[in-house]
Amino acid sequence: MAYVITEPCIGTKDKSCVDVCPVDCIHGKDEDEMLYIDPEVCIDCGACVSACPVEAIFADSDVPEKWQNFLEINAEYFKN
Amino acid sequence: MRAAGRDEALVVGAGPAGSSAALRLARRGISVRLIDRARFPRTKACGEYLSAGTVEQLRRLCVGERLNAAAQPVHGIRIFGNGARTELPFRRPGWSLPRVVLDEILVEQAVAAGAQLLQARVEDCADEGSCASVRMRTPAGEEIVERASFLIGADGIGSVVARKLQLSRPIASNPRFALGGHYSGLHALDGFVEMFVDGRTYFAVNPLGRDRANIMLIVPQRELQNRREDVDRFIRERGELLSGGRERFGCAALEGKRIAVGPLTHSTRQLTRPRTLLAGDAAGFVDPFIGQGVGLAVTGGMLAADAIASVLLGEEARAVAWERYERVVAAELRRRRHLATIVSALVRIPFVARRAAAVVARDPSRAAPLLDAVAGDAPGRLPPIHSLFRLLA
Repeated sequence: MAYVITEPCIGTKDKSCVDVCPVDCIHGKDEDEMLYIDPEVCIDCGACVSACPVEAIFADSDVPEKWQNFLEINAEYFKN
Repeated sequence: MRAAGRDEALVVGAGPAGSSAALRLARRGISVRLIDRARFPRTKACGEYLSAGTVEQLRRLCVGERLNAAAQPVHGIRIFGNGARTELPFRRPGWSLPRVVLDEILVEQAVAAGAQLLQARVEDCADEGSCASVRMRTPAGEEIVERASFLIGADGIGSVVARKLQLSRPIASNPRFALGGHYSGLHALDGFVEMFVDGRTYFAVNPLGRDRANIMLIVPQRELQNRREDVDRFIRERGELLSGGRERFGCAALEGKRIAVGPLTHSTRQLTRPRTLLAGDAAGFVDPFIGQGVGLAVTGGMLAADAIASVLLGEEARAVAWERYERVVAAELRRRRHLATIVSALVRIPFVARRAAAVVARDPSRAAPLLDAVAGDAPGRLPPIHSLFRLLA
């Protein structure tokens, strides 16, 4: 189980979520278009959900169908 | 005037506060929609302890008998820390009851009374003076907007309703998080909740049977950050360290998934907008150590429903009902926060904790006024100050 950042983050990158995450699992470099959650480290507490100003973060089981590809996008960012 | 064609009330969050509110509104013939992002039954991070006072409240809502079957009696509490051990038997037993059961039964009762349950995630809301509106997303990703005469925000810590209506206060630094779940394979559980305290960190074991328990580690963010690589091991090691050995918890096995929740803090500037009331944790969070969460949620939910019902049914003006709601709920929150501060000082400050433990060991009756206040046996009252001094002398 983990949380997943989806499309509304693109171009927003507010970073409020980064400050509230108790395990520092949200990352994104300046040149990245959005932020990403490391599914291996996320403890599923949901603190980031209410910090996000654009409602971009969902539990992996609740990601809307049209944004399902973001499950892969978040996980992929942390490979290698 | 009662609006036609739309719901009279929307309740966001179907935990104990929201379900109690929806149940109460529906029973008074008011059309109410109960909205939650989860599909029930669902698990929830919580200590799962209900005081005798809370059990009584649930009986008043007429749901007590159904819950009875799933509950285990809690006969008292043992607090360990600072080299002291204090045993505090309750005058009347409380309950340990999994939230998956409590919440499902409350939702079922609300629906049976006529509330409409809607699974959706609330993303925005507005208080428009003449009505309240909620924008939400269904599990299929579809966006819908609902309007109603009144809105109850019962969506917990980090409440979207409180945040969108600018009612939340900012979060304090280094807040605590809760980690844990249901564990089996434990030994020597005897119907007492056990709390192992080390500063702001504590480890709570609430028996759910003879060898099963709800176990929660409450820990400040910075301590958790240092152990983020293996949280399950961290819970086990910190628990063993706090509880002084592995003989009882060493072979405990996690049942189902480990749960985490936080930050365990939420406070609000005020509890109302012209068309909106906050209830439960969304109205304000109290230190979980003293086990007030569910009781406060049910009380707040019922009071919010009563305030809305009295306005819709033309019994009193909104300003009067809202002022009373704000005053009563703020007083409840203040009283429980004072209690939490007193208890926190008694268990966390090392020399105070040792002193109080020695006094209570000699004369258990000295703890009674404080215990009655915490367990809801003396609702609405703070323990008299002289009774607190008697804990130390």
